[in-house]
Amino acid sequence: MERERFLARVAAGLGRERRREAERPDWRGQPHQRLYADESAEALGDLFEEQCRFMKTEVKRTSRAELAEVLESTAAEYGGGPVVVSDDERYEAYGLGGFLQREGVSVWDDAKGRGMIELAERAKVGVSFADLALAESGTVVVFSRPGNGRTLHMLPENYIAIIPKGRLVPRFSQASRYIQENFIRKNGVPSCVKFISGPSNSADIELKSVVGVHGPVRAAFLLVEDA
Amino acid sequence: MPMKIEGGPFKARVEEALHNDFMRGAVRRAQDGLRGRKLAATNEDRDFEDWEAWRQAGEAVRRHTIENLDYYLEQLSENVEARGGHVFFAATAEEATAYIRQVVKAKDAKRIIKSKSMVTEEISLNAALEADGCEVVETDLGEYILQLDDHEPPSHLVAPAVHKNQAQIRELYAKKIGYTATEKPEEITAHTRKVLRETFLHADIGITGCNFAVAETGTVTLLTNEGNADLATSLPKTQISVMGMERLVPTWEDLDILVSLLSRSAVGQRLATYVTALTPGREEGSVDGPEDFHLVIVDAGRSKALGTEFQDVLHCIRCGACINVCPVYRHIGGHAYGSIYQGPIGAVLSPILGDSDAFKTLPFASSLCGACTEACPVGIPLHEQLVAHRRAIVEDHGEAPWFEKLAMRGFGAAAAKPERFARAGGTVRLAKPLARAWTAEREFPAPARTTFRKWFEERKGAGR
Repeated sequence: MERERFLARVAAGLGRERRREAERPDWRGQPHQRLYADESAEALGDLFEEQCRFMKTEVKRTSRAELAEVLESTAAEYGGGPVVVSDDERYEAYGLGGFLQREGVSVWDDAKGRGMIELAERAKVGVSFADLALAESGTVVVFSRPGNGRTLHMLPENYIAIIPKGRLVPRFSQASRYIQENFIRKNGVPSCVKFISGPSNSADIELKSVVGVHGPVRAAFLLVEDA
Repeated sequence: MPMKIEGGPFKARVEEALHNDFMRGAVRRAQDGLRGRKLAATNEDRDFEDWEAWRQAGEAVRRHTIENLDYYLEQLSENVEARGGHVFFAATAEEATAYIRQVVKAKDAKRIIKSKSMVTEEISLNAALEADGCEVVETDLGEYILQLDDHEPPSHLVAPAVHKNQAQIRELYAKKIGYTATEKPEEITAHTRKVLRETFLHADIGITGCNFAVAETGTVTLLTNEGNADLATSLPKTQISVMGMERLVPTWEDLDILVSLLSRSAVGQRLATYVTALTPGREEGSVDGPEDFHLVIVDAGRSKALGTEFQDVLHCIRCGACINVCPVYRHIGGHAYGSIYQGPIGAVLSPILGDSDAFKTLPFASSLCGACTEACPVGIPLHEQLVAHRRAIVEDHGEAPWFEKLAMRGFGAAAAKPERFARAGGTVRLAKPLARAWTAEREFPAPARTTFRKWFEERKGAGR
């Protein structure tokens, strides 16, 4: 049906003329604006860790100095390789240049086309940086961009996210605000915003929780305390 | 499948369900499990502040959106198109399937993967595409199991295969896909992963539903725990998302409120494991994500509720919380409702969306205990809407069906002795005497937290 006819029918159902503007409710003082808003960075770190455990995500608190070692050992626990990592200049800044050079580690390269997806599909480990993290729900937020493929976070058997603690915010509310300020008021939202809270799971068989249905079987979030 | 599922008249289906002990045991365990998860994440969750305040915020978002539905649908469609996506407004199920078939044909697509979507069940999309020679594969684990079992209908909004046990699933897998491992859910799941991974990698089109569209950015948001919606919208070249016309919010701030409520109410998590917000126009140079994005906005009976006493049912966010507390659902399971929508929400929604004659008995499948209304995270007065349906049906047909006569006999016995309600500080719940009247079964979910007296006082106080 043509749009205007459809919308006119809706307006008629509502018993009024077509509406060309609307005033949203005032959310001042509503719970989503208050919850955890005043927590210290330390308390947020604790909340994040506790929630990650509830969601069956391994959480490792580390420092810039120890990050390379923690990433190495986590990747080794997850089968070693092949490893696919996002294309991100922060690896160098965080002393992970050596990790990228290791055998079996590939940096995401969209120019490889379909071959890149096949590589991710075979990979034991996918690694990316969190653009934001949510303490309340133990969540990593990633914004799509070239070099940070959508499937990088979903196809490899295991997933590792590196989270600079400065990127840890209380909850979804702060992520919404971040998206408002940095994307909506500027060049528009990324085509894919992912909120990832642990390994792929299901309770569809007798309500018994199992992991690894379609996406990662295991997930580790590395929280870098001094970053 | 269409809204209505096969299985004879309501009375016969109830009879059958009451004799299926296994199914009823499974339903009880599922209700208790899902309800327990929600409680752990809400009422008893000290960290979530005041659940009532959250519910009121959720209701306010939904009410505002529906009252301004034409405005926000226009904004949504303009933003989707501004980003290069296509929008189709479908007044009927037939219009929706015809449009999707045409897209599929134009792409010469044969392999289609889906992530769980009730609205595509409503419009019988799979059957239409299969008739065109397409292979359509459901990827939600529960939906996949049902599809293998000759398209068995779902029995629960959130956990569609909850009536099956693992031995039955193992047997089904052995028969249909040559499965040889054990009945352990871990092994069944691992096998499903392998089979469906192949399907994902070679699919031409991914079809999804839509938990919430965001009008201000032209975004479709999907919530899953499995991650199947992520793969369905990353690998195929074309994405088709189908949404009921009410399934949107104005802004990302409103999205926050509803995603918080839906995740807690549906699966007892603070956030679903994967919340994925998709807007057309993948970044230039990206290798994954769809090149072509279609949003199909479906009315299919929804506008019948607008401007009526049933308008609030369009606030529903499909969490299933009302199903998990319903004493009637507990006894008869999902299939007895004869609709793809079960429980209290199904009994209110089905007569509106579907053929009202086929579903006219459903509003009588309730004890009116009010547990559904109390459980609803966006404050839909479900039991009041059930009463409104009954009134409408009785006025239409001049006679109340057998079900109500039975229930009202029980109500009469209890209501005749008001002191029963007053005893023990008014803690006798309404659910029990009413439900007891229509079956000898003595097992009930924990009664509603609101007593009849309190509920009655509040109603008086609210001047309703």
